[in-house]
Amino acid sequence: MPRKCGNCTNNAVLKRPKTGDALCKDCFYWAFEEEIHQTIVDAGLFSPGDTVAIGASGGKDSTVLAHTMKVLNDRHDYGLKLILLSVDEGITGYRDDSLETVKRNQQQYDLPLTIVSYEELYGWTMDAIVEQIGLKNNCTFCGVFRRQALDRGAMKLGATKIVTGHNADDIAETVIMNVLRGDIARLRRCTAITTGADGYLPRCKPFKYAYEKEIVMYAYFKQLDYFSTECIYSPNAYRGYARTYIKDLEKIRPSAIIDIIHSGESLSVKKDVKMPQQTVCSVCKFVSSNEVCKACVLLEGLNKGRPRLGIGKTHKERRKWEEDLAEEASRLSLHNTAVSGSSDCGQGCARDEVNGCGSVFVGADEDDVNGDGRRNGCCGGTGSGGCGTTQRENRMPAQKVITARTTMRNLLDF
Amino acid sequence: MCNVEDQERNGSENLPVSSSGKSLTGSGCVKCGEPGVLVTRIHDSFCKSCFQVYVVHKFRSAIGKSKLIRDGETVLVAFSGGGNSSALLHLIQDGLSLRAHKRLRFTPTLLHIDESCISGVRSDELRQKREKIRQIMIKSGFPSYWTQLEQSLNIYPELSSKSMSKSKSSENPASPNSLWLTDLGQEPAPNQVPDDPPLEESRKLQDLIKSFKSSTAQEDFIHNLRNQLLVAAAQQLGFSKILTAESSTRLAVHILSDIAQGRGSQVSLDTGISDERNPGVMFMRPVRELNAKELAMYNSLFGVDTVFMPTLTTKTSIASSIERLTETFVTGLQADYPSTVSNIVRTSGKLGGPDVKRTDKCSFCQSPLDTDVGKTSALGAVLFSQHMSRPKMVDPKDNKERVSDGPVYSNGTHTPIASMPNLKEALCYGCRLSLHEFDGDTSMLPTLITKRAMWSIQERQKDELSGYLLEEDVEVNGVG
Ligand SMILES: [Zn+2]
Ligand SMILES: [Zn+2]
Ligand SMILES: [Zn+2]
Ligand SMILES: [Zn+2]
Repeated sequence: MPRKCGNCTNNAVLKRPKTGDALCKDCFYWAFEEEIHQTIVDAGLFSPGDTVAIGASGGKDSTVLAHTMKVLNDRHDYGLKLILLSVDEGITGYRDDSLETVKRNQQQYDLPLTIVSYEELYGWTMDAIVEQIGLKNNCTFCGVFRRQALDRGAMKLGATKIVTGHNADDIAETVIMNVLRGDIARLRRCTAITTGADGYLPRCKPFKYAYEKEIVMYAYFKQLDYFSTECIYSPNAYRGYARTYIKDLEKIRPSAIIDIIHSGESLSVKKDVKMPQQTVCSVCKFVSSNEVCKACVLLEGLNKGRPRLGIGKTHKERRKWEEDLAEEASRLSLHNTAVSGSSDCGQGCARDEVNGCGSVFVGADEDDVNGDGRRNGCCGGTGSGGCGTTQRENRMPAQKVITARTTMRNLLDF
Repeated sequence: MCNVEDQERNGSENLPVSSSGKSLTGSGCVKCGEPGVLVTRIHDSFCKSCFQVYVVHKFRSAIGKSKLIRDGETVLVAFSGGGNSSALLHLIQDGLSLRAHKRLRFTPTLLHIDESCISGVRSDELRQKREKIRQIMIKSGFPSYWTQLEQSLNIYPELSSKSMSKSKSSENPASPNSLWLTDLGQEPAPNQVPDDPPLEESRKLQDLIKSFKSSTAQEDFIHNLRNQLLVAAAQQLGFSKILTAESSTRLAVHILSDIAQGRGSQVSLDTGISDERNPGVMFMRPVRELNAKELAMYNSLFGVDTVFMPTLTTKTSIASSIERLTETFVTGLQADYPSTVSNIVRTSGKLGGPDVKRTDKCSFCQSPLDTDVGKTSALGAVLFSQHMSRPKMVDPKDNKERVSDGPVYSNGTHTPIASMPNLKEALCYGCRLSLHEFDGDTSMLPTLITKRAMWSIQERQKDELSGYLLEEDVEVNGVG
């Protein structure tokens, strides 16, 4: 017996995971879109005249985001200039299709597309990085670099805001990850809908309260064109645990995802707890919580053939390098004054201290900056520009290939 | 943690213990170099006496650091008979003994809550366990009390501090309760098996618990009910501090399941060293820096008796409740990543709690309300989603009609029945979630919830009407 839509006389096609209500297709579209609109309006995410860079990976979250932003911008006269911005990590055998997807999106939604690549920004593709460091910590690199890449791309385009496709599931997962890692600084800000104030490009998450399942349903019923495959470099195992936990929780009580976000929103930090101080990276001059930002540490490690620098237990390596660096300090600082820097999310490197020593979690640090949906986790700061002598600034021709990381979802597996 | 098998030990102190886990033959104690008997945490191997020093230190520093217990103070110790509380009892006994290096300065009284009705069975096995717990309590030599979870239905709540300060001047009014609390006495009289709880009351509680549709809500409800009973019992017996024996492992599970159930703002209250949300009675957690394995090892090394009582989800699948799932999740991770538990607990140690002096508290768990959130919030988003999916704004279950006309008077003796939507307004986010899964009649709910909810709603109405009411002190409650 077909169940009726709770809103009209049509037959319902789905049950909303968030509220348990049955809706027909049209009522679902309307509800989904207007809820995003409500979030945008309530949180004051945009102002008329904003140029908004949509982080586009070709995956479901960013595809639905691009579509919804376009629809709402027209429907409610936001007065925004929308741009698709993609990052090409340089992963062979995986990027072509997703790039094609974004290119099709460009046409379908009639939005301009810009692509920035790791190779041009850092001189390293993910393929080359993996060749160096193996498959264990590659997500750390990818995450740290991606954050910067999006920022640099957006700056170059003259964007005033960046939007990413993080959904409620991603945020709930990040809350749990940060609790598991004991990362209080990130825990505090990971439920913020907009991050990266203080002169950097604000990043917004209009899908903060949208369930991943509803996003998939939306893409499915609207037959949106998205790319769905796993990144060939398997994601961090530890995050996988958190992810499975969230999925299992959702099965027991579907509201758990939004309940976790409520928890995250109502957490407060003791007054006497020391937060990592935001300072400026001595190499790239961008916001960092350490003397040298994570991106610079990782890059230096790659360039000096010490790729494990900045990962896991390699405090020794790091200290050694910082000593080397101190010797070069005057030269570097001279060199860098004229260079606009870039940075990690402002707390990456500090994690080692925050986390106690050498824990297994360090490897998982930045990988909430992973592909579609995992992208950029909940990092606070943003940065952009080159990174001193270690990064190849001013070389960002926007014509390279692009990749995406999405997760294969069985659409019927609700 | 595991024992270190060592066949060639010579110190008589270092008796080999039954091995649990892998053996680390030959590791010396990190403290004294004597042959180790066990390994705590990740690398450290301890001999028996150094392990004891380590455990005692963790216990005493938790008590000492907090400086919460005054010299000579009497405290109530919640004793379930399980491993954690048995270890706590042993640590207290040891700390009070003459040979203790620095003797503890407080005087304990034990309280056991018989929760056997949860399982729904009345068996000889349970009776025997009950008797064993009673024997342990009496043997401890400490004053000991016995009560039953059913008593939580008889709790008559005290007025909130706000209305109390208006109507009463005395700081500590006598508890209005007369709960059934049996003094076990000092003589271990044999064959005096504590009775099964009265059948009718057990039924009432069982029906109430069964009215919650999921095990998750049931466990959450029982947890809060137990805490409220502990508080009421402490008040009745004149205690202002209750020691409970959550291990760090237990707390790690609690932290995550709190977060998963929307109780993020309560994490620090639920898992910190102390919890002052209940007026006049403070919870303390003196073994929170020891993990489950360390406490189990302590019990095994020192021959501490424990009694295992089954819980609601003991024999169920891992996906039967959020708490059960979380327990599996945490123990699984801990096995692969030994710093999991301490990481989680350290996170909670950095979290601040809400101001417990606030008067807008949850009518059930007594946490400051966390539902006054802005429009851009998870709660706001859910309400808006419901609004979008239910155009008539009628929540089939919740929005019957709102009772908003005039305060409902009660005269202390009988319980006013609050309607569900009103009731929920007086509850925190987490308690609302549980109550959302309650499909029984509100009259089944314990007086303590409905009564407090009535008061809180009346307070709010009074505030709204202030300036329009001519009589200065409207008598809104019947407690004298
Ligand atoms: Zn409809
Ligand atoms: Zn830098
Ligand atoms: Zn020793
Ligand atoms: Zn509550």
